[in-house]
Amino acid sequence: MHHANHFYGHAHIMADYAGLEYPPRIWGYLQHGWNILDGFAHGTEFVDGMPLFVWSDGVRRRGWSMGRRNYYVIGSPWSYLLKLHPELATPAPDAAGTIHYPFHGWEGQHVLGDHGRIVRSINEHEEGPVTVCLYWNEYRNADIRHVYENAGFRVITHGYRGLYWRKTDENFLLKQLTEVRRHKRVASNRLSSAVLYGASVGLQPGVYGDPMLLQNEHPAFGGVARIKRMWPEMNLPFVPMDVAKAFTDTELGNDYLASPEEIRELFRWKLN
Amino acid sequence: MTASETQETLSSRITLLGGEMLNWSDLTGSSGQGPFASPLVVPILSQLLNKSTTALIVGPTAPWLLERLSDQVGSLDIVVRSWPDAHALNLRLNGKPVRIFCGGFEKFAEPAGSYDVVLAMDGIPRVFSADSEDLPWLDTLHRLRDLVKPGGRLVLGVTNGLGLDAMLDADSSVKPPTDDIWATNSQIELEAPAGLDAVRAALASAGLSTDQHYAVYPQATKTSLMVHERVLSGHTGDEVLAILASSAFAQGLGARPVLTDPRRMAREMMRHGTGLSLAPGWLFVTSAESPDARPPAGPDRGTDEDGDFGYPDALITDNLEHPYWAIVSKLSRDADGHWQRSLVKVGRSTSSRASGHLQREPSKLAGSVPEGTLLEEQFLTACRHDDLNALRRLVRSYAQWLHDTAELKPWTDPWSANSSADEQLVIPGGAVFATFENVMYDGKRMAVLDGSWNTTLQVPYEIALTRALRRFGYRVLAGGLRHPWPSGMSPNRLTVTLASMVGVTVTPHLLERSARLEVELEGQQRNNTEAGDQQLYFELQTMGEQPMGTEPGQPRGYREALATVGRLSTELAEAQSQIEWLDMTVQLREDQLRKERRQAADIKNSVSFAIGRGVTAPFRFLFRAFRPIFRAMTPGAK
Repeated sequence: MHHANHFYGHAHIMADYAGLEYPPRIWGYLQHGWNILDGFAHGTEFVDGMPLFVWSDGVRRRGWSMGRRNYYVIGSPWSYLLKLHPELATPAPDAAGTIHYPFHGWEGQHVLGDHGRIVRSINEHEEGPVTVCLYWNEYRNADIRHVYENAGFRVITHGYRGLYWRKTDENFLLKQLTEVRRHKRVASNRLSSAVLYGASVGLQPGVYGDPMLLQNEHPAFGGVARIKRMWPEMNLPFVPMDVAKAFTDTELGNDYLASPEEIRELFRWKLN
Repeated sequence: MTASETQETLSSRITLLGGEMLNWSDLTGSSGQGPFASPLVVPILSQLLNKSTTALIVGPTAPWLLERLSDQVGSLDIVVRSWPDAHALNLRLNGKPVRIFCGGFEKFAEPAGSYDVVLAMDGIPRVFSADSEDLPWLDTLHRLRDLVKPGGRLVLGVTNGLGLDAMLDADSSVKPPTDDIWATNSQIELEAPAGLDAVRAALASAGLSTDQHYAVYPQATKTSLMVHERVLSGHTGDEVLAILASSAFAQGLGARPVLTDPRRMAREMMRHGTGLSLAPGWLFVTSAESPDARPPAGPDRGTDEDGDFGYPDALITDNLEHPYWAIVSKLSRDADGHWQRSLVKVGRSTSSRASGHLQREPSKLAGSVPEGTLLEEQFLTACRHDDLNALRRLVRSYAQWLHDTAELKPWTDPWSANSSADEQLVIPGGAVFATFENVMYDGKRMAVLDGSWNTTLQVPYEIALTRALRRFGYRVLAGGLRHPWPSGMSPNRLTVTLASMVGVTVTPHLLERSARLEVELEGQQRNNTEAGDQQLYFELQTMGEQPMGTEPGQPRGYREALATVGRLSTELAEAQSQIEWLDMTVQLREDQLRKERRQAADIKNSVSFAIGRGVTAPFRFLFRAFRPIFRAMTPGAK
């Protein structure tokens, strides 16, 4: 099925959860990131009648109003990952400081913005040690990396999300979870999946600084302004923990998680 | 953080609330069922508004209505959920005292008591966007109430879940849910409480007292008839209300698949006194209770023409789909049950109109509504009872009445190349519209119900009669209603049958001319194009010949379809037994023939036959030899 199902090792997590060693093809489309529209990247070509597996109910409704059907709300792969790794249920003993995710583009769309301004906004808001996690293509760019390294931040990447089923880092999200557990705060210049992930395991979230522009961002998504109007309470440098919990529970679909049997049934997977 | 800091004000008057729908439009009807649109609320709302009023309107509402309302108030705030709609309204309402808020209503943060009048004619469910958190109907009602100043007014539309339109609709529950019916939380009731009593209780619990209460038809958002609650409660069997509701449903439900004939059901609803409880929707004009004495409500009844408009017993319009021809009028019923009709000015609704050969003079509609029963209904009743005698009486009375209006004049066939005139019985233009569904008959006198239509065409009596009869033929057959004739009947055949009762011979030429007349009048009214006119003519000419009830999509009602299936099954069984009988008869003849043949063969093979042949052989030989001569002698043979 669609190659985006395998991004970030999502299919591998779901297979692991469903009791399979390696993920067969998923019969349908799996939402691969937090999304403010119908759950999928603009321009995704859908095959009529194929199920759409999404994280939250809001996505389903918006998609419905746009003419899409066959939605199944199953929660996010991240939430399943948490179930698979109870040993990471609590913060690391030496957890400290902030992990910051500058808003990332991907191979096809680059973000436009000044990384120096992000560094300044981090220094403004953060007190403890700071880890900056760059996406793979930005991490490979020594100039960008140096901006953060020179500021005294630790710079890491969680890996490559994969493209067309190739080179997917199967442990992308596990690496992210392990790394997140070593921090107390999660921050970004845009409300994004990474902030949701961090906040969902109890890191105190913060959103501040230049939100940067995504190259050729499709206007149907409404941009950052729409996100801010929808969730003004989440677009703050220091988001209260109870607000963050309610938000991440809703958006990651924590009330919608399916059993391994149901996942196998929905994805048309069979035990080996 | 205050709400205003969370809002982004564009360079226009639009405030984005959050959750605005970017790929959606309620106003164009491209994404859902279209906005609330009815000219009938204008005279009602006008009484609540003046130049110092601060008003809020929520939910999808037709732009022309918003424009009209914005002219009558000091300031108007509009809440819509669709961004393209907000943008379109911003352009359309340029220069008006209007602010537009776009997004989910739950994020609308104006302080309590901000408005003199809050209007929610479309009701509550559609104020929320696909991004909204589901809020129960009752909570939203309280929120709307809070926005009204103490002593101010809230006008609320409520959709009846068990309204006649919902019950008749065979489509919505069959076809897959449309884009506007996105999934909602099954634990939260977004729709109004079930039943009128529950709605009333909800209003009361929200501290709202109902000043006026109207039942609306044929759809809550597309209203062409409003009847005051005081008229509907405690009354039964009102013929005028039955006619009004029947025609409202006929026009409103259009060609949608239905469970049963909407005109009949609408009529029965009124006849049974259930017009209030089965109304597709209700419109409430309520007052928010004030700690001080509440300002007195408007006058309870419509007063004289020049005085206060008041709240009339009923308001009606027609041609919602073709507003050029629409007339708005109000009706009031006196103590004896007689109805008076007078015109209401909404835009140009009272001025005369003309297009092509068609004319409409609204002033002719004013006055008493004729007494009696609708002629069509009397015909249908006779049909239902297989009462041919009554049908004959009715056709004769009608034809006589129409005949009496005619006078002998030189007439030129407008649809013929031949321009020579001959003497014909020509009826006046207004009488052309006296078809069965527009004539009241009290047993003695016939009168036209809606006399506002006229035509400049000269129409001979026979063409007008043919047209009236054929229209009725369509009504009976397309509706799948019971009638005394075989089910293979076509509208044209029925026309011929009915016309023969008054001694008029309907020729194909007469049918063709009546179809042309129909195109001139109907086509013009529907504002048809040339192609549309041709299509209508083609349909009338071909469908007129076809037995109805057997074509796909006909009849529209499921109940009538079942009845038709039953009737066809009976006739099929009858035809089957006729075939069996014929088969048996043929078999009998076959047997007989076989017996005869056997006898003939026996004779041929007998000795006496051989002897006889031998004896007659020379004569036969001679006869064959002289045959050419015999032939030549026979006169006429070649």
